[in-house]
Amino acid sequence: MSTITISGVTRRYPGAKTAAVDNLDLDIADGEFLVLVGPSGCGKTTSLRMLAGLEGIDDGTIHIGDRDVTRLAPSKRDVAMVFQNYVLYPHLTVAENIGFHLMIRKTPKAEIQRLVKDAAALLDITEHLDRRPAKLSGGQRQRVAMGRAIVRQPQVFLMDEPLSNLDAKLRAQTRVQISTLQRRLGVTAVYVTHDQVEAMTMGDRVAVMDGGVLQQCDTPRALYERPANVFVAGFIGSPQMNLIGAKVDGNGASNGTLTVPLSAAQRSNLSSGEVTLGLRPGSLTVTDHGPVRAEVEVVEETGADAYVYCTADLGDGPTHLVVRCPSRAFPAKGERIGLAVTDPDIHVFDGVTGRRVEH
Amino acid sequence: MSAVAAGTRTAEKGVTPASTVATRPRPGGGGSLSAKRNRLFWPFVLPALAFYAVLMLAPTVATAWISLQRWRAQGDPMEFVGLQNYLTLYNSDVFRTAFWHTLEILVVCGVAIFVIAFAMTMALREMKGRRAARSMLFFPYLISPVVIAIGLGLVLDPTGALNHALQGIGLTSLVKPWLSPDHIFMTLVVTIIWVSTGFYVLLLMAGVERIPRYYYEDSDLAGASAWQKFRHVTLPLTWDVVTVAAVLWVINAFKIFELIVAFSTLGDAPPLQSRTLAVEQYYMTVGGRIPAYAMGRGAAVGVLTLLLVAVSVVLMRRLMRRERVEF
Amino acid sequence: MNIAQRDKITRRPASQEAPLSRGAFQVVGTVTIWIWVGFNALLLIWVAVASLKDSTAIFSQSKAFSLPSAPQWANYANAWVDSSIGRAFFNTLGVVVIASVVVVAISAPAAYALSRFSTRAASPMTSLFAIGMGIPLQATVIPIFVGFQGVGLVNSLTGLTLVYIAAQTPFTVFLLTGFFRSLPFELEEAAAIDGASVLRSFREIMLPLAKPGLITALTLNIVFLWNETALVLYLVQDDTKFTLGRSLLNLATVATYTSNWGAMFAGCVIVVAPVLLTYILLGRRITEGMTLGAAK
Repeated sequence: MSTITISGVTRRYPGAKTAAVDNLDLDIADGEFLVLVGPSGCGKTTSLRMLAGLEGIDDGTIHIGDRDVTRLAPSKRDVAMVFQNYVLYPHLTVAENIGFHLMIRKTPKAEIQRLVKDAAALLDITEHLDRRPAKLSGGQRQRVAMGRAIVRQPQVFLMDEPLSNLDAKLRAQTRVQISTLQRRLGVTAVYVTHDQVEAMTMGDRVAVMDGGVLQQCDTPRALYERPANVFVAGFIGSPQMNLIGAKVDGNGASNGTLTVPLSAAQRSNLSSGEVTLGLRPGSLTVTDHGPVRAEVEVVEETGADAYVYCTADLGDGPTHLVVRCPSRAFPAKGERIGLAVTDPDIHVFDGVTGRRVEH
Repeated sequence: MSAVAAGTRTAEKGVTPASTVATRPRPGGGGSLSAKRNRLFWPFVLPALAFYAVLMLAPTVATAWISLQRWRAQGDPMEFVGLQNYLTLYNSDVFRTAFWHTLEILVVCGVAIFVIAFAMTMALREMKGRRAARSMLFFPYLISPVVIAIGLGLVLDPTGALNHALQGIGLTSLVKPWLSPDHIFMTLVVTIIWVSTGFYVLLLMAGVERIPRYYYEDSDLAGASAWQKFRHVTLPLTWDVVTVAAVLWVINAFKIFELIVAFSTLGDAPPLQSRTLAVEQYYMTVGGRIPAYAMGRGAAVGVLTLLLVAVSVVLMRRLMRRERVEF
Repeated sequence: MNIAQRDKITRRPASQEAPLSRGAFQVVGTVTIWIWVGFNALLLIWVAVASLKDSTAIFSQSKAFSLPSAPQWANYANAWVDSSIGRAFFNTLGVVVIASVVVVAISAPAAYALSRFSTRAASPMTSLFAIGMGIPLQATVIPIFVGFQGVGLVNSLTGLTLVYIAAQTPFTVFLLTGFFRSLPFELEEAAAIDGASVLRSFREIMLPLAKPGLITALTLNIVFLWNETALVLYLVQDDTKFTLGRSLLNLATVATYTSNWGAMFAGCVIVVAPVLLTYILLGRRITEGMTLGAAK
């Protein structure tokens, strides 16, 4: 059983005011693919390294299965890690690189050869086994790095932004390969990335972190549809969700001509008269009679859709909004348009705490 | 060098290596700029080349020529004797002793220095105050060999500090006349090791510090012992630096001269037990109370020294050769 | 936080990071190193102390380890004047500074051309200079000696300076070539587009950028030449033209007859002090310069 239980784990760097990781609690199921995502410095890599044992833990415990690994050396935790830079030994061949850990553990040569061959076959790099890493392309190197992790048959895979050194197209391909591989091997995996698209497409669950604190850990769908706070709402989804400040009044929450109704439950759960409204680009439509007036700045066409970036005159001053339009019917640059809120499901966040307020 | 290699690799594969090694642009890049530049190549290089050619290259050739003569320097006519000088040297016990001494210093000191320097480098990595320690280890290398010899003369004199200390802690049996002819060679060897190690620690540390941390982290994950880490990570990834350091040592080992002269009194030649090729040449030609001025034979020693340096460097590089790695 | 930043922060001793056994090796190593360092420091101090002692006290049984009752500054005066260390000091200063400045002045343009011009001769020329580092003085000094005899440059500081310049050229060119190679090419191309001549672009753009490298080269040359005694032994017999190393050697030899040990150690201090000072002030340049070639 390779579940992972992270309990109250904290890490403070000497001399830093805030903790790099603050009181992290995560329960990862056996065979789950969990993604840690967040902006630079949010503590995701530190958390991963603490799991690996490469970073000390100041507070809290980590269990893999029922073993308490908090104070165990990295090599005793039965985890394998794929580093961001792959860490391929330039003086060793691909085969030697893959078998490196086995060689260190003094596994018999014949068995190393067998395991390496199997891993190479799985990753489709058998033809490169006798080459040096310098002669491989980025994607091939990435697979060698994965090979070294796989060949150890560990309980847990840890991956630290393994795709960030690849170009966009290769990244998309490799994403699929990694997901498929993990599902096939059934090994619990913890994956760190700063790219929310990667997180959403690969993870069984995604843990969003910011400033060392876990913001929300949920399935991608839940994160998208019910973000727990303003940060998660703004982080997940591309283009970014429109976040608009509003004041509570008789009709609901309003900012200028934009008004959104509030339920009684919502009203009672607010800590002040200020809210933040979250509207996905798809929640707004361009209509001539829309209550909100705006001027189009830029239109980005992605082929399937068109995203209209406009500036609206709301009560507090100009607000930048993004609206999704069909690919064949969108306003032109400089045009003055009207916007209406068409989605009944609008995210409301407490203006002070940033927390989601449910209907 | 690496720019060309990287370029070739890219061309071969048709893909861009994902590593972030910056490919250095070719100088000039072609076009009128480089043409204008290239015309100034020789003017820019000439002054340095002139000094180098006149006072280093030409004399080297001249030395080879002189080694085939019998000559007592200015005013004396040269007498061509072919390889006679070399034969004389070959048959000379004194010369042969000096020759072996030189090789002994090369090998014994060399090996000792590298083993100690590497061990120190590894120990220094985890030490507090390692920069200060490194500075202090390196400092003797910057001190004049004359001062080193005099300073050690203070310590190693029969009535000096070392013997005092040994007597003080009861190891009277170890008290020796460290500077006497019987012991001087060992003293020299130890002195050379003591003075030089700091420099090679400097070089090796620079090489080791360049190894990205994550290689060690990965080997931690593998459960590597300290020795395994040294053997599989540190040594291979610093091999290039080790090679450069080895070549530098070879070149420097043959140059050791002032130290030996300063350990003995200046008027007479140092005892046979401490002579090396460099010392031999000096006392054969212009050194000592009454210079012997055997220029031809001295030149032969010079040629032999040069050959030995050349052969040693080539051998060293061949021994240590390995496909260049970049990370 | 990117990897580089994180690396800096997590640079803690391995024993704190994760339970690794550094063990016996580390302990023995650390102790050995500190003893070695202690020995070095002690020797330095000892020589300095000896320089202030009365000559009879230095090697005496009872007084060898003790501090002087009254500092014998006379030792320094003795060394400086009577034993001509003072004169040697100025000889050395002149020769070393001139030689170092000239060698850097001629090596910089050469290194610049070798590293950034694309002529066919560039590569073989670079190799030619590099080989020069391996030519021992034993292979060049005899013809130089005789040649100098012919033109009256034996026993001449000028002659010595010329030889120093030539002897240090290969190393300096090598060092500076590596350094120039590391500077970006775009600057010169931009200057060329603006119409600057090659010479101007070298003088006004490259040289200022190369200043750290030039200072390093200058420092290394000065330190090395300050201690250079071998060529002096061959080429200078006139004791009014001795440089420091040679003069000190003389002083030491004479001291074996006169037992003027105090002055001898004072001479040592005089020779070492400038180097020590340079090392304290410019130590980083020296260590960086020496590793530049190796860890390229």
